[in-house]
Amino acid sequence: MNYLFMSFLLALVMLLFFCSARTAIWAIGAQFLIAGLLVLRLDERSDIHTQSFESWATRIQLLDLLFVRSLLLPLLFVRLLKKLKNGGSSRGLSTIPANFVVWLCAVVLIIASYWFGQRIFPEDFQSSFQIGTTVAGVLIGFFILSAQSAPLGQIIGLLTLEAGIVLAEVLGRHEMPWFLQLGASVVFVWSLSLFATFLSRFSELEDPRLASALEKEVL
Amino acid sequence: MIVALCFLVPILCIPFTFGKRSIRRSLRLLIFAAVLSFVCSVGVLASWAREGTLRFADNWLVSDSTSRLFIALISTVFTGVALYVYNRALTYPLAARNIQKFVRSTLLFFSISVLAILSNHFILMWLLLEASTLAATPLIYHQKGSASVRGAWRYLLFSSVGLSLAFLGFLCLAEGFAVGFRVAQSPAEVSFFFDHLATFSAQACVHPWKELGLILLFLGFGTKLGLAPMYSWLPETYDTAPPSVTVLLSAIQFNAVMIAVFRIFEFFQPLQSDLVRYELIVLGLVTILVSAFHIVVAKNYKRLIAYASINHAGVIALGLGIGRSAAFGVVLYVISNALVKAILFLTCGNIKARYHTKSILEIKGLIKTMPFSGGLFMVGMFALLGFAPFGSFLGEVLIMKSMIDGQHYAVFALFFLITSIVFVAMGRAIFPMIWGEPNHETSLHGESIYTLLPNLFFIFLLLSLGLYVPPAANALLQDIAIGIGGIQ
Repeated sequence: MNYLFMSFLLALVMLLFFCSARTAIWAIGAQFLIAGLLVLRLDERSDIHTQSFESWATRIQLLDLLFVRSLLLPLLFVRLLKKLKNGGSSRGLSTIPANFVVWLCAVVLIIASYWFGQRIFPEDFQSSFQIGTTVAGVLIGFFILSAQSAPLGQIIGLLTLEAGIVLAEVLGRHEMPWFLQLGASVVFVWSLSLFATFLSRFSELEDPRLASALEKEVL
Repeated sequence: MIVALCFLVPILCIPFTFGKRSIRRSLRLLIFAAVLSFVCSVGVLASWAREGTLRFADNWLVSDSTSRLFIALISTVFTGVALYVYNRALTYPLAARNIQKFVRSTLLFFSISVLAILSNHFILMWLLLEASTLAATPLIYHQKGSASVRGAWRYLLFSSVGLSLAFLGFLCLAEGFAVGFRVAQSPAEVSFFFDHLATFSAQACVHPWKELGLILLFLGFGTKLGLAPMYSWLPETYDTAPPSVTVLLSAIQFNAVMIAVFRIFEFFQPLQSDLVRYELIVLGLVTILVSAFHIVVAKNYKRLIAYASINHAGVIALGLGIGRSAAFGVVLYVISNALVKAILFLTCGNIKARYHTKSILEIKGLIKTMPFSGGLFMVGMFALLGFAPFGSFLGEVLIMKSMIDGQHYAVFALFFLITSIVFVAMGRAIFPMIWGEPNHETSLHGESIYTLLPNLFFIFLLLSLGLYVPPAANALLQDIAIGIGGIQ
């Protein structure tokens, strides 16, 4: 199973080493896909996981990860980016700067994550590697978020953080009831629609005519 | 059940806001939902002594002392907001733009917030808080100006990060319980239902997962409350949102998140861990310090009140960290805080409508130019600054007394020093606004009874909290305080 975690790490690193919003979004989609594959694989190992495909919660989780997060999300954002670029918007679409300082920070964070995993499970390589990868996902998400001022970069940071948390949830020992799982998926889709709205609004604000639209406080 | 009406009425009103309905009709619908929720919540509160704790909706929702009191509180504030919106939309034509959409989102937000407070399950509560955040976001940029879009974006971003951290905290706690049960060879399963958690011992969740989980939870929910280090969204959002929405965020959503924190105290006894206790104390002190810096240099009265809200969140975190006898003070302070913010932000809306500015320096002699709003602003400011005889005064005194009792002398000294600085800075900025020589001619016009009445009721409640709490209400407050680790 470690090759799935290696792939997750690779997708995480791709986010930072390629200065392209489109690559970043597909890399995040890949992370969610790997989390979905881990749900499929983990079911075979009931000693570390209690989920079963007979439960509606797992089915909803799989549908959410494999369809909504790894397919719908990248398609929606790539299409939106294309539309915004065609519309002449550029300022809000800058992504993570690919430079030596960013890479160095990322490498330090990844090493620190695996060190943390090793501290938690000193004698179990598999578990320490899993924890390390999860922590790396969360920390890199925070790193991207803290280094960004443009909305798109912040959305990428937030989604990376979300992918890390989803990985932690997949590895966790708590199965959510099905309607909470469904609620989480609905909330995620709702968030995506708001992110898309904000990207459009920010690009509208670059247009001085639209930016000077009504500013009066009304309610 | 009457309590179900508190969230069902607003949600059932939403379909009636679609279609080509008149502005007045949508606004009446908002008032109808708010008043009915208020009446139901008061009925639910009054029946607490008789009914005690009730669980319903297949054990997913709970109506206990905490949820009953806070639903009554937020319904009261919501009624005030509804009356304010009604008046603004009818007296100012621009405010009526897209009012149906505004009413719809407001009702959805309120309904979700009530459900969050009623939750009997931590993950359900977390999910509803996330949903309420998403419902509130379009309300912030309802005006569609660049500043409000940026304010809404910061709100969404910081809230999402904060709630993600909180969820990570719950995952750590689940891991801690799972490891604890395995070590103890217990057949119990991890559950986040409050009544299940009440049957587990807090020690069942093992270290370091428990501490890590609690630290993440307080950092996450602390972000939603506006605690340092992730507080910067709050002044920008509160400043750029319409005043009615600022009240929804500062008095309704703040309290819904506060309930989540109270529940964590109730079921995880975080103060057993010194690390978590000091995290809360440090977060509280740093927040108070940071807000004091901003208050000293503030030039915008709405932003000034937003910084004071950050300061109050710091005081609450500090009180929670001190624990024991501070708990009753914290409960009083949280309730007073909601009422004070409702008075001040709604009055800010009236002042802004009259002066068309948020600059402190451009407004003088409010008490002469707008006697009613000026008077309310003055009383609200006194309550904000912790003057007697308001509930905020009593709450703050009880928290300070607990610092002495708990021998936290250094914390007390620092808190006292910073609070004094805040007091002087706020007075220096605001008092000329109220009593200075006015630039505008005196006029009694333009102040509606719809905006004054709810504020007068809030002041009555604030005074009652400070002067005389009826025995039944006192028992309710004591019960909540004991729940969060207080002593009688």
